Parts: sequence; structure tokens; C-alpha cells
Amino acid sequence: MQSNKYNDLLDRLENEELEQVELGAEVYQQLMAIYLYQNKLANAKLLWMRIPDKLKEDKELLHLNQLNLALQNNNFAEFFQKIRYDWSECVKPTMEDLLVKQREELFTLTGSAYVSIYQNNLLQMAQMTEDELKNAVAALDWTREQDGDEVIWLPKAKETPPTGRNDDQLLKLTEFVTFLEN
Amino acid sequence: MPVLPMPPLMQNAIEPMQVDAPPNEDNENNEEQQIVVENPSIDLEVYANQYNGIVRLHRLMYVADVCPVLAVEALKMAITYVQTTYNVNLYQLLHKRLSDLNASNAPAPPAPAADLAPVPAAALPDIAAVPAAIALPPLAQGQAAGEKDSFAYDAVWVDTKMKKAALKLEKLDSDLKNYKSNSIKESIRRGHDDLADHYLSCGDLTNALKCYSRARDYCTSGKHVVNMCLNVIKVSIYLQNWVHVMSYISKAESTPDFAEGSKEANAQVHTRLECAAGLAELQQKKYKVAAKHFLNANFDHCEFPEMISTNNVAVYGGLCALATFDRPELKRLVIASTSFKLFLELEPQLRDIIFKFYESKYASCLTLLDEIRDNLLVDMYIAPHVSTLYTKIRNRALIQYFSPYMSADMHKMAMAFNSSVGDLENEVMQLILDGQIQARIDSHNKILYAKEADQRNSTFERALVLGKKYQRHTRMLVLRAAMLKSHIHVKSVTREGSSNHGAELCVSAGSTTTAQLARM
Amino acid sequence: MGSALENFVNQVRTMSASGSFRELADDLPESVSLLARNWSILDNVLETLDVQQHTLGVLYVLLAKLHSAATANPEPVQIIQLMRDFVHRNNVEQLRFAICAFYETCHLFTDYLVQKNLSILGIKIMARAVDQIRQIDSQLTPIHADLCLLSLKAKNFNLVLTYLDGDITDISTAAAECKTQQQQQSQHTDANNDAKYFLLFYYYGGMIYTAVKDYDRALYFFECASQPRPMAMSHIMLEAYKKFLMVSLIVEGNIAFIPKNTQVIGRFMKPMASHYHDLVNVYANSSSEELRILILKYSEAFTRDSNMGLAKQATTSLYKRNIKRLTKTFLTLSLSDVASRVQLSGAAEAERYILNMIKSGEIYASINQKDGMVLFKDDPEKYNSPDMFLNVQTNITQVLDLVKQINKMEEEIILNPMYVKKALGSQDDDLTSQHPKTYSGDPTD
Repeated sequence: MQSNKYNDLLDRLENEELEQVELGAEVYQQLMAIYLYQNKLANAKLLWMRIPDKLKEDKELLHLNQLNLALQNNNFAEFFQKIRYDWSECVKPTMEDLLVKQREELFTLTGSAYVSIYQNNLLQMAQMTEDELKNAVAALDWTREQDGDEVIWLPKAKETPPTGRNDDQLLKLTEFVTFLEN
Repeated sequence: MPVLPMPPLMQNAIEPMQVDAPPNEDNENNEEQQIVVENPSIDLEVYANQYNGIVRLHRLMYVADVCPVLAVEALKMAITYVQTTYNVNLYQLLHKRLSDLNASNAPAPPAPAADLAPVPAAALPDIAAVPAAIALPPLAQGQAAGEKDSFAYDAVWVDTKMKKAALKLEKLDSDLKNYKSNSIKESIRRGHDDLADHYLSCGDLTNALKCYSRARDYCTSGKHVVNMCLNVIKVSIYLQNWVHVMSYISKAESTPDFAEGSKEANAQVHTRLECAAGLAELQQKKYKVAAKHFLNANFDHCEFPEMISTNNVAVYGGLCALATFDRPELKRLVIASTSFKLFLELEPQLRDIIFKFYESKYASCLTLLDEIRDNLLVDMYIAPHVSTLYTKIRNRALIQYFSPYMSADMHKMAMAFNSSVGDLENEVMQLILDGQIQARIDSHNKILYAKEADQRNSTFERALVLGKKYQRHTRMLVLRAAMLKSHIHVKSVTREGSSNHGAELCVSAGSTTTAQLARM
Repeated sequence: MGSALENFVNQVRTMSASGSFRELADDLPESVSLLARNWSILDNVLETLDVQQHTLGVLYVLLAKLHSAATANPEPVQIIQLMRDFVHRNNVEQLRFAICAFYETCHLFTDYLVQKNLSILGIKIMARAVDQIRQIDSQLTPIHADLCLLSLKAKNFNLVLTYLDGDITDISTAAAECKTQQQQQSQHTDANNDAKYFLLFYYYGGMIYTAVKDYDRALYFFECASQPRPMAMSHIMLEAYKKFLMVSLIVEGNIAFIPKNTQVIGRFMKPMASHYHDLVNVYANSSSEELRILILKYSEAFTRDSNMGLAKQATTSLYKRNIKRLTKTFLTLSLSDVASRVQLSGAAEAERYILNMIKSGEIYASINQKDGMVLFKDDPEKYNSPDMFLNVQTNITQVLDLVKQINKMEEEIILNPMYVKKALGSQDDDLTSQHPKTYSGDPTD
């Protein structure tokens, strides 16, 4: 549901791009923001490439592109640093959604990819204060350990909830049974 | 039609080779060139006496090539021996080598030159005695008298030998012509054989091969055919033309009368063919087949000093078997074989190695293998294969070692194989990647865990991959059908221009877009 | 002059009104030069014609306008507007009588836009044109290539991807269309252009998929573009072949599917793409270091072919592939060991690669920062989840659809009178009985 949120707007913007000659920076900003949010990084990159040169001076577009680069390189630290920016109204909600989504993603990833991780590294990656981190981590039920002077976190792997495609499966099975019966 | 100019084509024709070939070639070349045997424990004289004819010369020359310690001795032995033949060219060559060697040795340490002298002195009389008995008493005695001089270049000998060889050739030639005009098949055949023998003695292998082959048209019995084949095989081995060897072996085996004839003679021919086949397969790196051939040799009829010695059969057969046979095969075909046992008696070290391997005492087995390595490296036929065979044997040992375990401590394993844990890790990794060991390495605790393959999962995986492939293939098929239907071809007819146009169009499009796109 | 144009307009009007479109289509090509000469007053002509009623007439005026664009230098916006209007309002039935002219118009229009740097505005128009002219969704037309080119130039692929994703089962060619329409152009060039547009479609398509990182599909397209059974080699094929090799490395790690026309590849392509073959060989040695050196050595050639980006991707893919190999052999391994085994600069870089690979689901592992170890796990996929069931199910459906398609094609062929005649008429004649066989069953050889 979530990622569909912007689909209508996206369709409209993409259409606009295909038919108008002179587009303002705003259309591109919104497009870029949505691509980033939907994790269509290749699209975002292509968009950046086709943005007319004179618009590339636009501060906000430049900033959005930097975010894109950070995401492409999987550079979390850079991303969380760059997303702290005074966004204009047209992209602000999207950016807020993006931040929440990426935070979530970061913790899911570290949760599955690390057996243990130093707090410093995690802070660096997430660009959070120690307290913020503590809260976030507490919600995930991670274990804290002391290693010399440094704090080390032992993530708790998240169980992936079973996906609710059972209806589909049932349908297919029914089809199959009917097929067998005939 | 290539639309680009030619030069790139030519240039490129070489380039793929450079990357393709060099790694392989380099390896082999290096191996051969870099083989420097430090201290082989062989007795060169005994070694050389196992062979006669060209083989002895070839082998001695090989020793001289790879083993600086024995080089001078080997060359001198070869020179002495070559003087019993008509092989003047080789004589000259050997002398050149010897003087080169002396020249490079002499200035450095003055002592060796003096040291070296007694060695040939001791070795010489024995060897000289052999040829002396056969052919040239005067010369041999001359050598015995002044051995120092005997290794000086003997121009007179060269001269007389060349004259004699020419005379003999002329005589044999005219004999042959005579026989031909009388058209007595048997005589013609013999004439050819004699001529070939003479060529062989002169070291002219190509002509020898030609003459032996020509005898083919004058064979009147199966025995003759077999004989002709044996001759051709012999020379082909000297020429290292292994394909030729194989084809003549099958020719000999398919001769109708081969099965007939006296058992005794047959067994000998049979063993000879097996040995030749083993040798050829060995050179073509088909080790398992080679091993089987060698194992078929009959000890009592294995007497062909002009080709291979019984010790060779034991070593080649044993090593190849060790490298390629699994445990039951090793037991059944090697250890329990009564006939091969006799061969192994000649090489007690190798016998021990095989038994140790079978008893899973890998450490001592590998140590023993290392001990005989130098001796193998002076052997011209097995030397290029030593490292491959050793690796194979080692891998086989590793696989066998691990096979009964669920998990194994790599420290202990390294101990059992005389190597460090790090090296072992690399070896095992390679084996796992090749699918020879089903296991995973716990590098943290240095433990090797056996891994059960999950049949169900892998089946699913395979099925999905196959499905994808099938879809892809079928799609392309449909597309091709469509293409045929609408007659889409790229033709070269009269319109070079238009094809160029297309090319330019696409290249230019490519250069503006992909350049940026691909970098993403 | 004026009267000649008047004649043209009258002819179009009367013949359109009486419904004799075929005759009109046959006559019109002769007026192209007349129209082009009068480029300055073509707008007046257009005013007298209605797109819906006089589609053929308008089409030829457009064609003339585009032909004369170099001299007339019209306002781009106007041309685009005209084209847009035309593709939206024309009468397809009439258009079918002049498919060739329509294709030509589209090609010229595309070239014009590319030249004016306005490609993005043409995408929708060309997409609409494709929709109009193709008879079934899986038919490939020569103007597909134009659509791809415009998209590539505009770097906007959302729309074109929907056209690329479907499979092609039928091809419309100018040669076939023009046979019935008696164009002045010789059949010959048409056939060649057909091949050109076919190749271009797959070549551009491959590039588009490469750009959106759908390498599987890209590989398929490049293979298609390097595979037609050729009697000669085209540069498009050569370029496609080079890219095919590169993408194949990125996707498969080796050259898994070797295009079928081995002879041509061996004779012409291999020597001309030798750098690429070197790359493939070095890649097979799995040494990132060697690969890096080789790419450096050939960087000029790769840049010239604009394949440098792909070469870099290949380097990354080799690192990843080597890490993947490690997961097959190790349960645990220290990060610094990973780095040294796959020739990365250090533990930190190794950690970054592994983290990225975990994120993209290429490997299953967890990193222990405390002691600097990686713990490799097996693929948790147990093939018992509903998702996997669905996946298998879709695959089966796709395969069944394909089989149906093949059966349908086979039926068509069997019902083809030509085939029946050949199959029955000359059973003992080897040559002719071979022919229908290759035609029907085995286009892969």
C-alpha cells in the first residue's frame, strides 16, 4: 500500500514530462523524490541525466541527486546526513516518508546482516544521537554488551512474517484440482 | 563481409593467443625449463644400461639437460655410446654441449674439472666394454688407453664413420633395388627393414620411419604386419608422435593373425603394445588409461631396452594408478595383481608408497613421494607429469581422508598431510569448489564440516533454472521463426553503404547514450 | 504551381470520398517531390484536408514536410503538434494502404527530433504510432526501433519498457508491405533496412535494459541482435555481440549462451572483438587483479566502444562472484581473509561488499564486528513457501503459454498450402523435403 501512495502523482508527472516543452524545477524535484522513495534508483539517475542543464543549478535538485548517489552506493551515513535539509513544501512529505523508510530498512538490514555491531559504527551509519539509537534499538529488542570501552549491540534477527498470499494459493490449487478432475 | 580494414584482423589474430595460450604454455615451459634436479640418488650407469639404442642417448641427454650435477657424466656416457652407432650428427652435437659445459664450468671452480675426471674414468671401461663387444674393438680400446683424449673431438672418427655410413647406405640401397627388380616380396621387405635399421643407427628418424612404413606393402603374413607395426611404433615413440603410436597399436591389434602364432611370442608382442600404449596415453595426459595399459604388461615378457625398462613400467603404472584409481580399483588392480607385484618389487620405494596410501598413512606416503621426486624428474617421460600426478595423488588422499568424517580438525589434518593449516585451507577450498569434497570450512575454529546436499532444494533450484532456460530458448525459437517468415537476413550484397549507414547510426547512438548509461 | 497543388488536393478529396484508397495510395508517391518543392505553402494545403477523412493525403503532406525540413526549417513545435494530431486522429483503415510511407514518415520524424534534441516529446507520439500500425501486440514493426532510439536519447524508459517487455512473435517489414504497394524503392534496400531496423530494435532494447539494470533481459536482447543467420556481418551485430559478451559476464559470469551462428562469430566477430574475448578469458581465471590490469590496458578500446561502464560493472561482478564462491566453501571466515582472497583492499571494503550483497539478497551471511568474522549461511529458501509456490506456478503458466504459441505456429505451417505441397509432392527429393523442415521446426540450428 505504502509504495503505491505516490503512484497517481507519479503518473501525472511522468505524463507531463512527456508532453511539455519547458518544465519547471518543481516537476523534476517531485519526480526525483518519488523515485527515491520508491527505490527506483536507476530511474532517479536517468532523470538526473535528462534534467536540462540550466535546472541542474537548482539547489534542491542537486541535493536530491546527492541523496540518490548515497543510496546507490549504499552509503547510509552520507544519506542520513544529506536528508537533513530544509526541503521545500512540494517534496517535504515525501522526504519525511523516505527518512522513516530508510531508517527502518537500515535496522532490518543490520539486524539480519550483523551478529554484533559496535555502537559507534551504528551511530555513524544511522546519523543518530545515542539516545535516539537507544530508543530505536530498544524497540527491536537488541542486546547490549560491553566490549572494553565500547558498546556493542547484538541484533535480534527479525522473523519475516508469512506473506498473505494464501488466497492466491488456494485459488491456484482449486484450479489445479478442477483441472485434474476434468 | 568484413567492413573494417584488414589490419585489425591480423593484429587481433595474435592477441587472443597471448592471453589464451601463455598461461598454459608458460606453465609447461617453465616446468620443463625450470626443472633443475639437485641431488638425484640414481646410479647413472645402471640407469643408462637399462636402455639401448636411441633411447639411451635421449635419456642421457635429458639427464644432462635437467641435472647439472650429472650433466658432464651423462654427456660423456652418451658420447661413448654414440660412437657405437653411425649417428655422427649427434656425436658432434654432444661434443659441442660437452665443451660448452666445460667452458662454463671451468673458470668458476677449478677443482671440479679435476674431480670430474675420475668419474668417467671409472664409468668408462664398463660402458666401453659393451660396445667393444658389439662393434668396434679398435676404437674402444683406443678409448680405454687414453680416456682423457677419448673425449676430445675425434675428427678422424667422424670422417670414417660418415664414409662408412654412406657406403653402407649405398649398399643397402642397391640391394633393395636388386630385390625390387627381382620382385621377391620377402627380400624387399627385409631390404626396407635393413635400410630403416641403418637410418635409425644414423639417427635419421624420419627416413627410418619412412622405410619401416614402406615395408608394409611387402608383408606376406600377419606376423610381418605386426612386426612392421612394432617398428613404426618404436620410431614414432622416438619422434614423440603419440597419435601415430596409438594408431599403429590398434593396427597391430587388429591384424588377423595376431591371435595366432606361438603363445610366447604373442605375449611379448602384447606386452610391448601395452607398454607403448601406456606411454602414449601418459604423454597425452590420460593417466587412468595409461595406468591400465601399464598394469596389463606381463613381467616375464617385458624386455625391450630400446623402448622402456621394467622399472619404468612399475613407476609409470604405479604413479598413474595412484593418481587416478579409487580405493577398490587400487586394491583389485594394483595391490592384488600378481603380475604387477613383480614390477613393484623393482621399485620398493614406490611399492611402499602405494601400500602406505592404501593403509591411509598419508603423511609417510607423501614424505616418501617427495623423496623419489628428484629421481622421477630425471626421467624424460614422467618428468613433465610429476607435479600434476602429485597434486592428483594429494587431492585423492585429502578426499579419502575426509570421506568418513562429519567434521574434521584442520590442525590434525594439516599434520597428517605435512602442511600448514593455511595451505591446507586453500587446497580444501579448491576441492570443495570443484565439487570433490562436500564440506564447508569453519575458518574461525579451523574445522571442516561435511555438508549434506539437500536433494529437494537442489532439485527445485535446478528445475527453476531449467524452466528459465527453456523459456528463453523457446522465445528465441519463436522469434527466429518470425524472422524466417519475414525474410530478415543480413546480406552483404551491393550495399556496403547502407550497412555502414546502419552501423554509424547505431554506433553514434551508442556513444552518446551508453557511455553515460553504462556507468550507472 | 498553385494549380498543381490544387490538383493534388482535389485528387485526394475525390478519391477519398469515393473510397478508392488503393488507387490513391498508388498515385500519391508521385506527388512527394511536388509537395516538397512547395514546402512554403504546405500549411495551406493542410488546412483544406481533414486528418480523419483524408488520412493518406495528410500523410504525404507530412512526409513532404519532413523531407523538406532541412531547407524549410519549420518550427519544431509545429511539426510535433502536427504529428501528434496525425497519430491521434488518423484513419487506420486508410493508413494501411500506405504503411511504407507511414514508416518512412516516422523514421524521418525520429531523425528530426533527435537532431533537434527534442526526443522526449516524440516518445508518446511514436508509441501511439506503434499502437496504431501493429496488427497484434506481439508484432514488431520497423518503427519500434524509432521508439527505442527516442527513448534512449531522452533517457526516459517508462513508456518504452512496456513495448520491450512483450515477446515478439511476428514481424512487419517494409519489404513485405511494399510488395503490394509498388514503391519506387527497390525491394533490395527495403529488405536491408528491415534487417537494420530489426537489429537496431534489439540493440537499442538491450541498451535500454542495461540502463535500467535488467541484465537478464538485456542479455536476451543483445543475443537476439547478434544472432540472425547472416550472410555477412553488420556493425550493429558486432557492437551487440561485444555488449552481449560484457553483459553475459555480469549476469552469468561466463558465456553461457553462445549465439548460434558460430561460423560468422568465429570468422568475423571474434577477431574484431578480441579485446572482449581476452576479457572473458581473464574473467574466467577469477583474478580481480588481472582483470583490472587488462581493463586498464584496453581502456582506450573500451571507451571507444563506450563499453567502459560495462567493463567496470564486470569488475564489480567478479568481486561479488568471488565472494559468492567463498560462501560455498566457508562457514566462517575473517573479514581480512575475505579481502585477501578476493583481492579487495582491506577488511573494511570487504565488509562493505558483503553488506551490500546481503542487502540485495545475493548472499546470506552475518557479520560479527566483535571478532571481525563473517558467518556464511545457506540460502534460507526451502521451496515450501506460498511465494515460491506462486513463482513455480507462474513459470509453469508461462511455459504452457509458450507451448501453445508453438503449437499454433505449427498448425499454421501445416495448414500452409505451400508446405503441404512440398511435404507431399517431393518425398524422395531430399533437398526440397529438407526445406520445409527447416522452415517449420528447427529455427535454432
